[in-house]
Order: sequence, then C-alpha cells, then structure tokens
Amino acid sequence: MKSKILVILSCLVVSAMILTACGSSETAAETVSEPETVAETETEESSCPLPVEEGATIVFSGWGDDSEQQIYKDSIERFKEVCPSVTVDFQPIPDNFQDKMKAQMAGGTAPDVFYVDDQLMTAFASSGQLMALDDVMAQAGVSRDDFIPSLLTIFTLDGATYALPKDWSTLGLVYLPEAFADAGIDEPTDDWTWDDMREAALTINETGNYAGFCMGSDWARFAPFAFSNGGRYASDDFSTATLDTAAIKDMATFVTDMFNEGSLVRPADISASWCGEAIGKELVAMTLEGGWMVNTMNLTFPDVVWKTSLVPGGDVTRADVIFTNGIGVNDATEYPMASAAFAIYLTSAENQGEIVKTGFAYSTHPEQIDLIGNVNDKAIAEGGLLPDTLVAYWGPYTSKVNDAVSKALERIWLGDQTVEEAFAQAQAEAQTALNGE
Amino acid sequence: MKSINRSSQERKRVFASILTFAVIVFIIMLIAVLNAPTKGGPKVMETTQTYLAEVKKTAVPFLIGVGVLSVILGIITARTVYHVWTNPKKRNTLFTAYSFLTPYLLITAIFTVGVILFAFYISFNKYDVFTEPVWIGLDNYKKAFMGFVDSTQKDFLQGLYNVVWYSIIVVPLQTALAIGLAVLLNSRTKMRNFFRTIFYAPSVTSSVVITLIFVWLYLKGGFINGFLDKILTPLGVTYDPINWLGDPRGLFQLFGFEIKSAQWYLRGPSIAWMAIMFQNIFTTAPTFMIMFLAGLQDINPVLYEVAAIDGANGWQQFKNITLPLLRPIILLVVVLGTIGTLQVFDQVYLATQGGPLGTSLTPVYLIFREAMGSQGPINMGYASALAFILALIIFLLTFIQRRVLERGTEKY
Amino acid sequence: MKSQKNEKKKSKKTPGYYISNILRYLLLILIGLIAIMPFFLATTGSFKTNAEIIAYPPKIFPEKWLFENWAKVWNTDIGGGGTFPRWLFNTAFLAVTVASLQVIFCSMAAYAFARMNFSGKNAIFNFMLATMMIPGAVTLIPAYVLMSKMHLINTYWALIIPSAVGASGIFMLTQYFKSIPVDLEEAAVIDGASHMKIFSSVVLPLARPALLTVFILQFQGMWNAFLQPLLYENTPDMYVLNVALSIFKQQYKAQWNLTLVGAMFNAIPVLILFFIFSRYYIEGVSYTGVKG
Repeated sequence: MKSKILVILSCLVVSAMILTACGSSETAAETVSEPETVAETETEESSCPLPVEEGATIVFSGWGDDSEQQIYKDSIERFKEVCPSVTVDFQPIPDNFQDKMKAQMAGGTAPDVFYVDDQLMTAFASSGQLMALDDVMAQAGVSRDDFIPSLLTIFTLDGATYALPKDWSTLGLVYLPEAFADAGIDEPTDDWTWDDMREAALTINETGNYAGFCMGSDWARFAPFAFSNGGRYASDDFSTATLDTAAIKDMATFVTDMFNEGSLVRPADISASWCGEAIGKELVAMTLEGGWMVNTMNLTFPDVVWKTSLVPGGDVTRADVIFTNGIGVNDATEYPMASAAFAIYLTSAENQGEIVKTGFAYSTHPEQIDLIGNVNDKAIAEGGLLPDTLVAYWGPYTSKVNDAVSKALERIWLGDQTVEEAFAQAQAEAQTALNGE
Repeated sequence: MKSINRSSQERKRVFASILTFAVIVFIIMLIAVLNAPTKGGPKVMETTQTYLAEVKKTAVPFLIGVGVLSVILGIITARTVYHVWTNPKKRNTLFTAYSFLTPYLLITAIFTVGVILFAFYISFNKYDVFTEPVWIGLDNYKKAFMGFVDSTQKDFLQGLYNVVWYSIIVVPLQTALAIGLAVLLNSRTKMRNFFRTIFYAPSVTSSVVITLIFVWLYLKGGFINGFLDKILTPLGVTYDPINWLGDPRGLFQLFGFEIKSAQWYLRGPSIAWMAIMFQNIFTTAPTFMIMFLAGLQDINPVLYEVAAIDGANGWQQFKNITLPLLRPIILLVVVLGTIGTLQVFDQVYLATQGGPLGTSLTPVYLIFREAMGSQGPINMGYASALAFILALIIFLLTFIQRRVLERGTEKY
Repeated sequence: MKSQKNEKKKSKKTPGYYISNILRYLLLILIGLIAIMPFFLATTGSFKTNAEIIAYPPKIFPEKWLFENWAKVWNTDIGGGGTFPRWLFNTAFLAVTVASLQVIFCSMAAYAFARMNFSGKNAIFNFMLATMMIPGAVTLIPAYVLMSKMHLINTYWALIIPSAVGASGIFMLTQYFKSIPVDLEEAAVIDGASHMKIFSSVVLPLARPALLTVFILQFQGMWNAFLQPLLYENTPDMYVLNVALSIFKQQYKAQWNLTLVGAMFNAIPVLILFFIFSRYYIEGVSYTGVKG
C-alpha cells in the first residue's frame, strides 16, 4: 500500500514537471517576441520629462484586473518611446495591494514606482518613504495647477506633493429611462435638486414596477447629500469631527424620511449585492454610482438601457464626492530621476489623453474631460468638476471617520436610534478616531 | 585507570553541557538580531551595516531582554544535559528525543520564535513599522479594555464578545456533527469512498468561493429564504424574508426584548453572525470528520464484537467504546476548534468586514486591521497587545479543556 | 477480515437490519446532497454568464453551457511567465512538497511527544500549543521583513521552509499516536529495538490513516493558501492559483463565473486526492496488522 501512495505522489510530481516544461517554453517564446514591437515604435520623436539615469531599470506596481493592467502595459510602451534608456518592469499585484506594499516597503523590497492611495499616503508619506515630487515637477515643467484641484488633497502633506493623481472617479445619478417612462414622468435633468429626486422616486415606487432610489448605508453615497448642504465630516485641519452639525443631520433626516416612505431602498432589500447591480437587473429606477458602471453594464448587462445625469443639488450648493489614486515614487529608489520621469509621464496630459480614449478612466487634467467617449461616463465625470466637489479625505484616520457615518445611517434605518442619537454617537466615534486613540 | 576514565568522562560531561549552553544562546541571539525591532524601510534594510547600525540605535533593550532569556534557557538545558549524562539510558533517550524534534525546533526557532519575541516587545511600544518604536509601557494593553469606560472604543470588547458566542455555539456543534458523520461513514456501506468524498467536499472548496456561494444563498431573495418560505407558508406561518448577512438584530432581540444599541452586549449573537456560524460549521465539520475517521481506524474491532455478544446496542457501543477510545482525538478536535473559532477571520474578512454594526467584528480581524494599517497608521504595538491578550484567553480555555479531557488518558 | 464475516453472519436476516440499512442510506444520501450543494452550484455557475450568476430569482442550470469560461481561465496569460499551467504547477509542487515534509517532520516530533519521556517535553509541548494561539495576522509584516532579510522573497523556499513542519500537524499526530495502544510496541521494546526502529517499522505503519489525514489537510492548506503566497511571491511566474485567479474578482467588475472556474480547479484535485486516499481508511489497521 505504501508503494501505491508513492506511485500517486510520483505521478503528481512528474505531471507537475511536464507542466513546468510547458510553462517555461511559453514564457521563452514571449520574451523573444517582445523586442520586435519596441523596435517598430522607436521612430516617433518626443522628449523625456527629466534627465534620466542611463540604463535605469525600475519596477512599477499597481493593482487592477486584466483590463487595467493592459492600460499600464500600453503606457509603459509609450514611455519607452519618450525615455528609451529606461526599462520598466511591470509587476502588478493581484490583490491586497496596500498590504503587500507596506510589507515590501518595510522589508526594503518595494517597487520604485507604485500606486498611492490615502492608506499608503498615511503609511509612507510622513515617515519619509515617498519621494517629495515638487522639485522634479518644477524641473519637468509640471505644475500642481495642471491637475483638477481637489485631486491633490490626498497626496499633499505639509505643502509637499507625494504623488500625482493617475485617475479619478465620482458619482452621478444613474437611472433607467424605462422606469421614468413607465411612471409617466420626466427624466432627471442637470438642475435637479434632492427634492426633485425624492418626488420622482416616490412616484416611481408607487407604480410598483420599480423601486425608486437605491442607496446602502454608505458614507460615500451620503457624501453628495451632506456636501451639497454645506456639511463636512471633519474640519479642514482634520482635528475635529463635524458630524453632529445641522447640515449633516438635516440630510440624514432627509434620506431617512425617504427610507421610511419607501422611496429609498437598500440593495439588500431588493436582492442585489450593490446598487449598480440593481440597475443592471432593472429593479430600481435611480442610484448614485460612478464610472465603473460603464464597464459593469457592458460586461454583465449589455442589453439594459441606462442613462446618467449630474448629481442632484441641495439647499446650499451642488457638490459631488471624488475618489482618486495617484502614482508615487519610492524615496529609496536607485534611479530617482528615471522613476520620477515615469511617474510624471504616466500622469501627464499626453498619457492621460491616451488612457481616457480607452474608456477606462478619466483624465486627471481638467481640459481633457471632453475626451471621454461614453455619454454616460461623461455625465458622471461632470460632477467632479463642480466647484464645491470634495475628496472625502480627513487625514490619516479618514476611513474610521467615514465608517462612523456609514454605521450611523445603518443604526437609524434599522430603527435602533434616532438621527440625533446616531450622529451624536458617530461624532464621538469619529472624534476618538481623529484624536488617534 | 578508573580515575582517568572518570575524569575524562567528567570532562565530556562538562564539555557537552557548555556546548549545549553555547549553542542555545547563540541561536537565540542570532534570532534576536534577525528580528530586532528597528525602524523598517528600504534605507534601513539596504545592507547588513545599515541594519546593524539601526539595531544598535533602537534595539539594545530588546537584545538585553532576549539575552537574559537565552542565558536562563541555556542554563536550564545545560543543567539537564549535565544531570542526564551519567545515565546512559536517559542520555540516549534525551538525545534521540531531541534529534526527533530538531526539524521542528529549528524551523520554529527561526520563523516563529523570533517574530513572537518581537511582537511581545513591540506590544509595549508605539510602532508604525517605518519609524522607531517608542516605549509606552502598558498603554496598549490598557487601551484594549478602554471600551469598559469609553463606548467609542468598544471594538475589541465587542470582538471578544462575538467570538465567545461563536466558540460556545460552533465548537460543540461541529464536534458532534463530525463524530456523527465519521461514525456513519465508518460503517460498512456500499460506495463508502464515494460518500466519504462527497461528505468531505464542503471543506475542500476554498474559503473565497464558499463564502461567495453562501453570500448568494443568504441573499434576501436567495435560496435559503425561498426554502424557508416554502416550508413555513403551508404551516400557516407568514415568513418575512431575512437579509441574513446584513441583519444586526441579536438573538435575544428576536424574542421580543427591547434592547438599546448602547447595551449591545445584552443582545446576543446577531443574525448575521449566526449565519456565519452556520457556514463555518458546514465547512469545517468535514475536516474534523476525517480526523475522527482516522481515529476510528485505531479502535480494535474485537471490542465491538465482544460488546455485541454481551447484548450492547449501537448507542451503548458508541458511548462505552467509541467515545472513550476517541478521547485523544476529541481533545484534538475541541482544542483545534476552540483556537479556530476564537481566531475566526476569513469569513469576516470576505463576507461582512465586521458588519452589520460590528456584530461580526472579531479580535483577529481587528488585529489584522491594526497591524496592516487599513484604517489609519499601522499600529503594530496595539495589534500585538491584542494578539497576546487573545492568545492568553485561548491558552487558558484550551488548558482547561486539556485538563478535563486528558484526565485518565495518560494511562496509555 | 474475520470480524467482517462475524458481523455479517450475526445481523443478516432480521427485518430490523433492512430497516436500519435503508434509513442509513437515506441519511447518507440526504447529507450527501446537502454537502455537495455548494460544490454543485459552483460547478453549474462556472458555466454561466456573469448576469446569470447574479440573476434573481436564481436558476440552478445555465441557459447555455459556456465551456469557453473554462477555456478562458485555462488560457489566461498575464505575461511574465504567468500562465495557467505554470500556476497549476506551482500550486501542486508546493502542496505536495509541503504536505510530504509535514508528514515526515511532524510524525518524528509527534513520536517524541507521544512515546518518549524526556526533560523539557511538557514545556516544549505547551510552548508549541501556545504558538498556535498567537494569530498570524499580527506577524504578517514582521515575517515578511524576516523573509526579506533572508533573501527568500520570490522563491519557493519562502513558502516551503516555514511550512515544512507545524504545530497543528505535530499536535494532531501526537494525539493519534497516543490513541494507538502501546502494547503493540512493547514487544519491540523488549526485543531491544531502538526508537528509530520502533518509529519506522511499528508506529508509522500503524498510523497510516493519521499520516494520510495530515497529508491531505496540509496539502489542502497549501493548495488554498492565499495571503502568504501573495505577499512572498512577486513575479507572475511564481503565483499560485488562488493568487492569480483573484485578478478575476475585482470589486465592481467581478467576473464570478471565471472565479468559480478557478474554484473548481482548486477543489477538484483535492477531492480526487481524497477519493484515492479514502480507501486507506480501513478499520483496525493496527489490529489486522498484528493478527496477520
């Protein structure tokens, strides 16, 4: 019997070996074919943003599915044209990007250039692991003003710039025209207010064919409500939570009234895992979602007709919430110039213009908003350019503050607490978080 | 002649003891240097020199502490060697035993002990990995229990509360289920291997996928609600579909008690948490089932034959033969189950992220969040303190379990 | 063999035998159905379109069986040597290696704990259990830093060496060895056999079901490992299946059907392995050995 087990094991090992043989031969074939494509494209003329180290090889990491990875593979090809002496080794990280970056940085094996979000800013910027880019930006003739202003909020610490925004997204009012036709009412327009939205949601809900407006107890979806009423989750210097203000609580009461009258439903109430999916399944008439909807709908619900309009306005203003990620440079890189050149190139108008054409992401340069091809995508993006639009960033403890908002809404909708009680508790929780306790 | 022999024997004995002492101190100090709590980051890790310079700067107290520990350990082992040396039989056993243990001891020393010593030291510091650790004494441990006085800091206490419920409910159920399934599958049955494989299937699917499937089954319009509706409606019960993984109502609230959210600790495990418990039992019971299955193969079949002749029925045979003889395996399963449930992480990380309203928050999820800095700066010190508090609780619980279940088994 | 005959003779004719047998099979089938449910749903799901998977009300079977889902996963190639066969090899190689090493090293240590009396035994055993109680989540970054200091990042060694022997495997085998009656070895002890001899020729053959169990569990553990391989391996040619396949489940563009195909690739080999091994779970191995 022992020998039988041995046979099985050796079979496994042998078959495994055959598989490696296959694997490695395929790799070999690939590496051979690569140089040809480079040779073809080298003819174009363009200049490298910085005087780079000769023969530099830099490692670049980001997250993303296969389509995002393709975008950056193409960007690397374009970079090779402008800075031919730099080799970029792209090492995408399939999952848990931030965890892996922190571990790699601690162990001294972090890539030279990588994506940076608020979490990595918190971990790396204040401890000097990220390169301040202001000098190289000046050298390359890049200014902070080239970018959509609010995008740089996250990447700025004590006046220095630690990453450049690579793309961004925001929320738009996503809706099903069919639901509006069905209820016999007009479709949303760009001058809609929250009251208009609520009225429409109520009417549609009464038809019984569609739910009105879909929203989970989520700080991000609540942000446009709060911001448009002049509310903020925390003070500008990130020292004080501002969740028990009338501006916030009025809007919390507003969404809670919608919830109670049935014009607002949570995704779980209509058997969807998120509101975008509920639109795809044609269960609900309206929701607040972002640019990712385009891909989701094309991939999963190609037959559903959907539209987008600007996020509705509140009593004080009309404001959206922005999500953004940047590209940063490892302060300990062996090739600071080459790395910085690559980061600057990736976020340059030249490269962003190419990326935006793929429909994958919005350009971080305001003048390029017209390059967005998809109508819905463009309508969503408009919200990002509103003057009062904000990034929901409140310093190192941002996600704890935001979490307190989500939980407050959850408790209210559950019937556990009144708006007053819930936001008093959220205020206390957020303040504890901001104090760093 | 004799005296020369004796003195050379004595010399060997002393030499062996000193060698043992030296080896132990050397290994532990090497590990200590490798795991010294310094500032991290590429500039520190660049070369051995830069690293050692940093060690000198910040890790001296740590090295002294570990040094003292290694000397104590070295003295104890050296003394043992010294005492055992004159008795060839004992000496032989000692060396054989430790040579059997060498692979484990070496690997664990290199990859586990150092990291644990590091974490223990760091639990008295404020440390974000990238800057130098700052000694803050017991503050991290105090902070863990701040929830008693400040309700905004209740996360760890709520986590503990949740996993205690989890453990109390899951461990007995999954152990009983696993024994039952193992006994059922051990009987002579056609296609026994087929059934064994099928029964084992829930444990095989990776937790990512099993969680995905359960999230889907648990949807408000999903299979579970549909199934319950089909069963309950004919019985005249109006069934209101439940959003299983999103419902924070506690067990005791379901009985109609009004409990304020400030008194979350009176609510009992939430519906979402119990849904995760069910999933956990479903996926881990088969793993423990095969442990029992292996254990059942060691029971002498003659015992059952004798019992049958004495007129014992199936239940009596199970109670009087199977259970007592399986005791070491029951202990194994209960201890592993207790450790696993008190450290539950995967399902929470994948399905609920601690929600709804913190009713599926667990200590390990919290530790992960603090240690990886997913909600603020990395707080390795606090994460380590939580880890040691949790480990202590688990150790005490399993210690009691071992005391209770091991009574009498040592007679073997 | 003898016992089998006895049992048959004894319980053959009574009507109760038939009833209990029918009940037993019904129970087996019922539990079997419940147990296979998720696996079954994952299988049919792997042939669906993404929209069908999240459709409400859910359907069990796909409208059209999309075999191309499987082809798509099989043909995944993210460059840098990251191909599906390569990932399959990495995973299989690591799982077989780790499980084999675990069986060897854990059984050695477990023998010492279960059968030998030496000073320091209880201390080491308790220490070993204690190491299991400290959650690994806290040591992820320090462990990575250690690996990086030892230059093991992006090698197989980073995953093999630390997992070559483990507290849970030793604990498991210690308990099994304790449940094997000691009298079987006493003869050997009287004959003056060394511990090495008793271990290899008496205890190991008797503990075959236990060794298989440890092998399967460790194989499965490595096969399903995620966080460690993700942290320690950088280049696409070093990924394991689980890590590589997570590119299909990004938050808003989750391709559940492809994730499920990946899950099937994850589960099926372990099930086959278990099916093959499960025939070695035979009652009273220890006793038939002695009788024969």
